[in-house]
Amino acid sequence: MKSTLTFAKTSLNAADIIILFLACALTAWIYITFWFGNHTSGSAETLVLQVAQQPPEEYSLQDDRIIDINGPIGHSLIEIKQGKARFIHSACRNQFCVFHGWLTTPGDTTACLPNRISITLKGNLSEYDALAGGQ
Amino acid sequence: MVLFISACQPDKLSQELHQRQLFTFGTLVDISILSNDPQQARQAIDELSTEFDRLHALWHPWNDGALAQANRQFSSPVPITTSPSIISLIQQSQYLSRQSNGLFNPAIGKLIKLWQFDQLDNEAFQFHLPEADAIQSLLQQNPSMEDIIISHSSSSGEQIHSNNPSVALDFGAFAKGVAIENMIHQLKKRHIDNALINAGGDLKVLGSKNGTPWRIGIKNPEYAKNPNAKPVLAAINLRNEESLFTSGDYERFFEVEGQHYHHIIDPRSGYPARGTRSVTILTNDAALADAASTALFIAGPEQWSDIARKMGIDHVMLIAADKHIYLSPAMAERIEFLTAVKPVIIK
Repeated sequence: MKSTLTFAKTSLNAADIIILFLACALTAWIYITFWFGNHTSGSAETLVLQVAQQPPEEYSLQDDRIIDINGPIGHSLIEIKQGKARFIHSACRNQFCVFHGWLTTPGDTTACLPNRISITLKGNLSEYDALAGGQ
Repeated sequence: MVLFISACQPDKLSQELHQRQLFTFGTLVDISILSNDPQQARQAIDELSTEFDRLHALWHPWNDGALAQANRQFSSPVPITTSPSIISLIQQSQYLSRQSNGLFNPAIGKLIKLWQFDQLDNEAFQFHLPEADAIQSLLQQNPSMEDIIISHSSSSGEQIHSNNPSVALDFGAFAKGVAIENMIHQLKKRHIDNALINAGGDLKVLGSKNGTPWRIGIKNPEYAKNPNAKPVLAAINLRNEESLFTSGDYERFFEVEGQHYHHIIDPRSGYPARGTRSVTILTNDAALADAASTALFIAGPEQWSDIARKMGIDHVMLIAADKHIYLSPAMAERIEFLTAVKPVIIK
């Protein structure tokens, strides 16, 4: 059994083939990362919680938890579960933030405007720069 | 190889992304700016924040600003002097209202107030259905943009009055587009060439994101009802100075006794428009996109293409209440669906 491939006058052994394979894989990785970086789909990794006039806070979506946060008109409760997030209660009357349901996609956002609290999902490989629609 | 890839990258690859979220204009505004000068970006966002707040106060239909003062004055035919920006809103709205066959009608402010959709960010707000008699009474008085008269006085400058006391101006379907257009103009004056302003899901872009187009996901209206549906229906890459505006029935609504009441009021019936779930418009002028998305939502599956043509809109997607998706041919060329759908292309 031959252990080398012959191309014209050049012969490749097994180590050459491995190096060639690794070079091709590296090329593909660099091309995807640097050329299509923003367009590679990704999942949300972080919840950005913003209360008006305060610096935003970030929470990992890997840790399930309930966040109890105070806004100008009272409490809002935000749930993080299995990589998703949602408002489960807010001090406002119209409850649009609660009706919005789960945020699952990087870039998705919702807010309790009366209580001046917003939540936004963020991912390292967000597929979208913004989400359009709704109002 | 690495050098080759680097050489293929655009010149401004190293521009940093600066983002801030603002609670303003009755919504959440996300501003993204690409700049290598953090101070320039910070100052620009500060300026936009101040300007959004100023315009919101000036153009609110019922608070203490200039538009609210004009609305109070319209019960009498006496002309008043008002802000030049309100004169401009009126002039643009009169034109767009005619182009939309009256479906875009900011003169129905009293009707919108009856439905309480001007109160959505009021903490004490509690929805109740308006009386049918009150709706009919306002409809019979037929408030329209043509009732507003702009006159010029040598002593007071431009003045306005209304020939119809039922007129009250609510620019809720227009002001956001005009404001975004103003903000983009301010960014350009500051020599910021790459930016995205997203006001509650309605947006306009400048340039690109380090050479790649701004990529926008369009929310799936079905997701609001069905959490198992995909949250994003489609995607679109925006070019320099393009705006994407959507009017939908699925985020601002109330349910009373199983009935769904959303915020887009049909000026012909006085009730929330039926037959449409959402309309997405792509065009350069954000103000036009805002007005057209409302007009085409009201026009519905039967009439939208005629109204779009009259308003000069080429790129439209309409999702009907029966879940059919209609596209204009130009939109069909730009949009990428992420779910298995069979859109109907209307020529």
